[in-house]
Amino acid sequence: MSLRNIDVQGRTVQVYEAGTGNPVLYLHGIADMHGLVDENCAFHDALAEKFSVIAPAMPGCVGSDEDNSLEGIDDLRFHTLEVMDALGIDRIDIVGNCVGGWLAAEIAAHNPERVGKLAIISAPGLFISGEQIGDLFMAVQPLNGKIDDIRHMMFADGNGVLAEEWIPDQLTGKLQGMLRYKTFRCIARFGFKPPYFYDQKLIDRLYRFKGDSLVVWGGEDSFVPISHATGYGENLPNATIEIIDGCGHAVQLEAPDAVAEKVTGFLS
Amino acid sequence: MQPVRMFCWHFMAYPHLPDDFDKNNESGWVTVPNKLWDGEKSRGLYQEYLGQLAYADELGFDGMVLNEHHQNIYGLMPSPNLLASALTQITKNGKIVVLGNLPPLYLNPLRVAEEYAMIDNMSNGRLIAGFAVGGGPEAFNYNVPSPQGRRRLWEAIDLIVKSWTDDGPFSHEGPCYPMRYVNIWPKPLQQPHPDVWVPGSRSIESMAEVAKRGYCYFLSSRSHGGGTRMAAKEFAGVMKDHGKTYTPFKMGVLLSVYVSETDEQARAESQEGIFYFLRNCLKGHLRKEGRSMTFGPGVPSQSLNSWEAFLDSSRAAAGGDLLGDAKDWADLESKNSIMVGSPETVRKKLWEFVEDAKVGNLLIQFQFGNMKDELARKSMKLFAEEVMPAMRRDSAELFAKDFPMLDEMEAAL
Repeated sequence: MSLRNIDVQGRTVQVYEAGTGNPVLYLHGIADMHGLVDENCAFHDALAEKFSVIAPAMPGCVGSDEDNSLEGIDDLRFHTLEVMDALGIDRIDIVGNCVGGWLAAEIAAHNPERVGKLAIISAPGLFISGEQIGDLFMAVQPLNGKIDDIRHMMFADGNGVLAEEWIPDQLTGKLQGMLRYKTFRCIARFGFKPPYFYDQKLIDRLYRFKGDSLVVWGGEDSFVPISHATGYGENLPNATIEIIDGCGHAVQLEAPDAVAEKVTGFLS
Repeated sequence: MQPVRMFCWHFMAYPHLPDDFDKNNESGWVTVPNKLWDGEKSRGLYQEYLGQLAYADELGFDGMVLNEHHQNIYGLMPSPNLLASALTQITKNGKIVVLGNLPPLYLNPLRVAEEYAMIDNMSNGRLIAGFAVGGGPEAFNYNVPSPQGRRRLWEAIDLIVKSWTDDGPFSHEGPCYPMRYVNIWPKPLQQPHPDVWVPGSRSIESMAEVAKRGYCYFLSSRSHGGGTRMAAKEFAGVMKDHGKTYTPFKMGVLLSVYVSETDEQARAESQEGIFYFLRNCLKGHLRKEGRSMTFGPGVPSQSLNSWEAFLDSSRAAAGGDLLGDAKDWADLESKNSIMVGSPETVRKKLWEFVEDAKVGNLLIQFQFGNMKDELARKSMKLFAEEVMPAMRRDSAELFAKDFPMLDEMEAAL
């Protein structure tokens, strides 16, 4: 595993790289980026056994610069295309988790020529009437000093050790406090204001991506309802849906090996 | 000789919460169920609160202060401009301070420019125009895309002030509010424009933005002590860096006061209202218990520097108490924010504060939570008659001694 900083149109972007083999671009979500907590990369590691994993941190996340011009998912899509340009990547298989999955779907719909295979995990991004994506910004506001609500939104077992380890009430230091705050600031730029974590037109544009796609979801996702898995699966022309029972939104943290097996099988 | 200015601040809290409100609700903000609103009991409430502000004008306060909050029981002023408009008709002398409108919440800042200009004309030039970015709850209430909030705020303020001072029509090319035709009618009465006040919580970026424009900085802190003196010093330094002169009137603070005949009586009379305010109105805002929408990682309304300062501060530590955590009078005393006692006690405390911090605009809350009209009025009257004159006399001497440029500036006018 190695980290390096690259220059993208004057902004620093931190890129995590691991493994050898066919290159795969990994677009992270809220809690699964490298560098947030120690030894957090079980899913990354499993992928890296077969592939060369390239995982850039979004603007403001871990070692990447904030980008004040980022105001919506379209800006993030352009940013990510610029990251690919800077890395010399013309076309690549993409695995996207959570908001990274939404981002991957946007790239596939708008720029299908840049994407080989598409795997999306627990991704917001779609508007499905009556099937609201949760308000994770409210859920992470402390209630009596504890942020239980976000743990329950992210994990099937919100009281479990895993949830506690990933989303502790008290962070161990200022560095972690700043990392967490900057992550929320980053996703607030495209998820806080309406449209809340969705792009109203995306669902009708998914047909443009003709490649193979895989949709993986935790069966008990409390952030993005499982109906959104169906939404992706039915509107991407060549999609397979895999539901991991007993898992919540953070499915690749809760069952890294099971998810990696599905994704690896799909990409191989 | 310029004495300290004393304004009467009102939150206009909702006073009819059930006794078990604290037990059954996680916040007084955003999600507080509005089925708790009792229309019949609330008949006449705005009249009562406006009446208290009109009374402050009669008593000789320097002005009345309004503020903007949404979807909460802390302050029933989603539109302070409506209340300011009413005040223009029922007050005569005092400044009408709207602190402030929250431009990032609106589609178009010209609406704020227009309404303020109307209020200034309707009040015969008595408006002080405040602008704020909005706190955590407002981000949730109005979908403010917050990392951009501050950028929007300052573009809006500059556009509004320009719309008051420059002849229109002109076009504005800012990234947040591009506009082909800026040409407001009416223009404000005060020239070149009404005083502008902007609140901040000691972040150096906000201070710099306020200082370089020469506006008045309102420190939005609810605990006063060494921190307030330091903030005044910091702001004076930042003003100097921008080639401006600091005077005590370039800064304001919020305090709360209850005065009665004796210390014991003051506590007995104000206890219910003050603790209603602390326990209910500050829940979700300045209390550790309940849902914190002011300090949590999901509130994207703070700059990175402010958040870093917050993590450094004692508030972030588990033991850091906020104003609303005060359990008894001893806790409250230590915050030095709510001064309760006889005229002599309050005069002494307030004077110690002014002498120490040398801040020239005191924005003072008299009505707390469900405090009865007659008590709020009694406290205001005793304050005006037995505290205010001494404060004015002593502060004018102090400021003349410590800020000799005040006289020169006065003479220059």
